[in-house]
Amino acid sequence: MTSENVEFDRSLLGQEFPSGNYEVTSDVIKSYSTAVGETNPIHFDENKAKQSGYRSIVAPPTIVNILIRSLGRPKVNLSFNGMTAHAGQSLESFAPICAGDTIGAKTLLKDVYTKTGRTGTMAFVVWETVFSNQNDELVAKARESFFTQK
Amino acid sequence: MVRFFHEIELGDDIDPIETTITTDQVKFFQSTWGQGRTLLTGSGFTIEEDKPSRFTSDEVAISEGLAGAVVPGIMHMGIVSRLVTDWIPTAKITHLDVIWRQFVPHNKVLKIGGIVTDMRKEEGKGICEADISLDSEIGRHVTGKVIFSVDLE
Repeated sequence: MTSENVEFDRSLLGQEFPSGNYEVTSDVIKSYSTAVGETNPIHFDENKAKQSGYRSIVAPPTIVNILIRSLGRPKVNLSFNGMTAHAGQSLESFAPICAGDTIGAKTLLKDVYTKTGRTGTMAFVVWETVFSNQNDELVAKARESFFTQK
Repeated sequence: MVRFFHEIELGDDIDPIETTITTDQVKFFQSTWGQGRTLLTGSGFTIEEDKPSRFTSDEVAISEGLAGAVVPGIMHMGIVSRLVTDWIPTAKITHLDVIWRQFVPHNKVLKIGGIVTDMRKEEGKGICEADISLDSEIGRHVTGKVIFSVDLE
């Protein structure tokens, strides 16, 4: 699907960029949950979380989004240089992320393509990121699409 | 409050959420994940510095051609996911797919809703799919799909 009519650093396509690790603390889970308006006690109270079958306070599955933001990806060097913004995001959750877990991520440039609509031609850059915990268990996979105007 | 699969029917509306995301809430969200700091260490790449952005500053947003500061997509994605878990606290979201159609502004009443479009039983769990949306007086901002599992009983 990758378009021929857009220039970018094609050497990045399919290349996997591993990150370091991040320890998910109960404070981060509580802050994130508060920020998105969660009220479910499994995100705030360890006893309630354990009563619900979790090892500890459990994070909302969307918490991996805050890790994506700090991946520090290489520049794609698109030939389009207008405003860039999020076009869409897909998140799959395979296992809970609990306080005390250490999460690592690997991200790769999945695709770059163009589309032309009413506002002109836009380039779409698609990144895929997988998250694993300290037991090498896959916990989540995210696919993000960003558009850049010409 | 819905708790079990047998209480849900195809075509059910998910209890909607109505909320307003203020500028202060966005700033708090940004602070929770330490915008500008490296959370995942050792990636070897430069992280953007903490500075005013289209998410926190009207001035920056307007300079980028927007009407004003906007809510980060990852923030309202988190709020959209609450649609399911506010409705069924024991539900587990396995897949959330959103498409942003236009920026979400600060300080506007947002209505998040959904409708159950598919139901099945798999491996002792009830699986539901729902179409979801986020709207304001301006129009539709987000569409998407969510898949979640629910206890059978």
